[in-house]
Amino acid sequence: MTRDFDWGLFAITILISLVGIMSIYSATHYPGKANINYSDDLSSLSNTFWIKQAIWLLLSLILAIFMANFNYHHFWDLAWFLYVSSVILLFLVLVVGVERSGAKRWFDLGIFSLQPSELVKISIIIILARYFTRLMSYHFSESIYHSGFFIFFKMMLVPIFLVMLPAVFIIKQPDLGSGIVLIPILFAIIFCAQVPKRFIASVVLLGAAVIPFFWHFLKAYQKSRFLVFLDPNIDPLGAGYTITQSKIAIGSGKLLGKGWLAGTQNQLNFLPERHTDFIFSIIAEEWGFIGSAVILFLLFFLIWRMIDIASKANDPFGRLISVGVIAFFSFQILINIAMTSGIMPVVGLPLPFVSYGGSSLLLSYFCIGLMLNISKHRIIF
Amino acid sequence: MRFRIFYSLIFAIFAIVLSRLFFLQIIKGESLRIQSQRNAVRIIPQNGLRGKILDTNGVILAEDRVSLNIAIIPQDLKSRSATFSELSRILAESKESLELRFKSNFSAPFAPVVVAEDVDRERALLIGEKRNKLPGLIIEYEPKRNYNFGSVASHVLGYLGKPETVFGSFEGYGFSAVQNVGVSGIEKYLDKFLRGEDGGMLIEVDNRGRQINLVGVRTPREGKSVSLTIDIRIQKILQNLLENRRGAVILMDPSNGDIFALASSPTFDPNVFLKKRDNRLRSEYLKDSAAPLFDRAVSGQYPPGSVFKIITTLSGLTSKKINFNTHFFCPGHKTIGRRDFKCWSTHNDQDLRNAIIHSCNVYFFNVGLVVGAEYLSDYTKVFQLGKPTGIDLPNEVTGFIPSPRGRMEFSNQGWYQGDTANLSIGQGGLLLTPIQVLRMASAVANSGYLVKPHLVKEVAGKKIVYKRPMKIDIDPKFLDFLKQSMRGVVGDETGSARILEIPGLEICAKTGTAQVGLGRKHGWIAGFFPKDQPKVAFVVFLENCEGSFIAAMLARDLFKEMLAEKILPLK
Repeated sequence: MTRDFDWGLFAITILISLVGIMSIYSATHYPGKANINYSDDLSSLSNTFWIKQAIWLLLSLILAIFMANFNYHHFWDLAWFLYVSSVILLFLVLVVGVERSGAKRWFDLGIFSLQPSELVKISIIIILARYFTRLMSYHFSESIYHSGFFIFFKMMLVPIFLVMLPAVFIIKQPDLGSGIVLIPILFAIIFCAQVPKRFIASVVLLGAAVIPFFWHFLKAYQKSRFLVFLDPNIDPLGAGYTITQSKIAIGSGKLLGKGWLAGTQNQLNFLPERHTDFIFSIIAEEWGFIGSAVILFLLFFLIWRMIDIASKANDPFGRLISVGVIAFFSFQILINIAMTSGIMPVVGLPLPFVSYGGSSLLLSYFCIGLMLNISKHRIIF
Repeated sequence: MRFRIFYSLIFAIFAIVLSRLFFLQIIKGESLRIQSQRNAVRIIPQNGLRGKILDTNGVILAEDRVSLNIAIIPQDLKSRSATFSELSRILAESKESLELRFKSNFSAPFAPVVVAEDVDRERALLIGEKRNKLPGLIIEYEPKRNYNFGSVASHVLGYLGKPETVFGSFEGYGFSAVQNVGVSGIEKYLDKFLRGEDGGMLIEVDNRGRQINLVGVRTPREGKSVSLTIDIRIQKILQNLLENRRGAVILMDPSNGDIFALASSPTFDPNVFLKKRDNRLRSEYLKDSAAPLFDRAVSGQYPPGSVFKIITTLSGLTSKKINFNTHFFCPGHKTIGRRDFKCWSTHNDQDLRNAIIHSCNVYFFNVGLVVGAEYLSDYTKVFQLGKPTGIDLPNEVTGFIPSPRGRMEFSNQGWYQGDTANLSIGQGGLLLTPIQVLRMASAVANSGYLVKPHLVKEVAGKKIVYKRPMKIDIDPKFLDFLKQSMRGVVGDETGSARILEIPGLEICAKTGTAQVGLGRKHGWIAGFFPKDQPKVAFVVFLENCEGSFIAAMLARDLFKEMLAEKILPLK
């Protein structure tokens, strides 16, 4: 017997998405300013963004409903296929992808474009969930042939390799945000898959030791973002500009906000990327602390519903998928709001369900569909 | 267990984010709100026009007119080379110089850069037509002071300059937000009346500083206009005559202190100080050893020479040490102590009237010696010499009156009879300004009143009422005698200013030639006419000339030309 559809999760997701469309509308509209020639700097912004996002939302809803009825156990068999094909797509996008503002992230599919890095995120969640489900049913202690290193290899190095392979391609695009988001997914699943703590600790320590070397592999703009995060005043009109303006936008909203379509930081174009990565600044500016706390609460409620589903999932595969999805969403929410409010360096990560972007929205709803399906199957025996 | 740790971690994440929002929006909200307003709202100052300055007949001497500047907003510039070649064609100026100016005046991408100042209307119109095709070009309107008569009356009018101290801080915004202020002359003296009331526009701008909304406007107001007592026609004739000379000439109504003309030479063109670029002439003025910016009429102090004999005469008469019939014998020199003091001629027997007419030094040495230095020096106070006259011009100086007491106090040096002799003929450290000498002559002319010399007639259409001239405590008989004698200076065959005699004008005067060492002399003549009920008092002072007769000749030429032009204020 299957349980009813989790309407609560579904409704809250749609509600958040509608807030997102309202904010995109506010971020990209220019009423009564025809006397100003915006053609030069706003060619990338047009009044139709909210309509496009609405269409994406409809497509996403269809996908979510389809996924909600697609037994997630099928992904057990599809896991490797998904993983391999997304890695190949990632490779291809570096070769034949279209370049926008210096990054090759998109396939041009005529009327819309697709980011394979979004597909990778779900593939990673599924492949890791499958990998650790199998590993957990394996009793290492009973096998005297398995040395400690072999266990470490199986439990840590293989999954790390599985993540690193696509991550390298993604960071090469370059898309640091999408690359970094894979790390919390990996650790959340490893952690919840009962991998010994000493393994995790040793990898974390090793990683901390190695990070300084990666500094040299960062692009110049990524380095400057980090340095500017440490002190935005070193370059207030250049790299620090976005952080400063975003903080001003959020803070100037005060308790009640300046009102929808009335945020000066937004409407007067002080915030770059405000319909995508910096959408939260606009919400905070126009709706104040009350509005931003409400949207944060809605997001928390969403995560909380997912945690509930995860804890009641009837098998490790479903539970680990849920953990991956929760980690994925939580991390994005944290990074996005933290960077817009200036407590983390700027890495280009969208706010799930809110920021403009078709691929991101489709993936998010794919995950929602997956969670709905796991929720449906939770009491099957 | 692991799941619970994982979930708590997520809960912590949300708590951190929420507290950050609380910090930014509630705790720092107010200051960040102010920052956002500062981002979006900008003040564009609009300078109010400066008030006009008119002469006594209503002729405009200085006025603000709107000057058209061609400017470029760098960020809106589409085709740089096309814009500059078009500009170069219309303005008939080389492309390179325009681009150079653009580069050197550039301050910020949104701030207009002026590439051509004060463009004539036709050219501005031509550029206006091209604006749609060449975005980024704008025409700015800026009030600009114009002195219609160039260097005529420039020491009266003064000139304008930037208040340096406030200026720098506004440059980043691309606005010259601070008005010019008066640096000298009437422009300085009446600056707060002349200065326009600034207005401005409060506009909401986007991230590139482009205007989105007009939030508020305050219309600028024109400053108050000022009418002077100066007659620009007289001033023009006067400055023509003064050309290539160093000195000062002032004409005044002795009855009330209205100044008809005040000139200092060499002079300057106040328009030069308003040119933003070309400051070549400006620095030339500043470097010139003849000091054209210096107003000799009120800021220069010089030994008056024999003109001072007016005071010596009156001190002698008032102290009763001499009377109208006192005679002294002039052998051409007088030995005082061990020094020989020369007269400029040998006058033999002289009475007071003749001594004045011939400007006999020996006679006045004797007068000075009988009166005494202390008395003579104190007597100058009756005419308020050694004090500013209070003329409505900035930087008036006091002059200097030597006295035995003063010398003791300040330099601890002795005073000798020779010093008294020198003082009595207007030498020996005595310094007066031309305006002081003029007021002194006026007091003789109007039979004993000290007027306050002034240039301002009306401010904002309202007549300025000056205090009644101050009565000097002096026997009118003495002044009448002095007047008669001064008439003789010009009218008598042997008078020292015989050259100035113009039939019908009845000019009274006293000449002066001051020795200033190294054989250099200053020439003076001060006087008034007509003898009875004088209408004009005058002083002519010339630096480094052959003597008083040069000054007298200049006065003669001036009055003759004024007579020919029928602008002598005689009624």
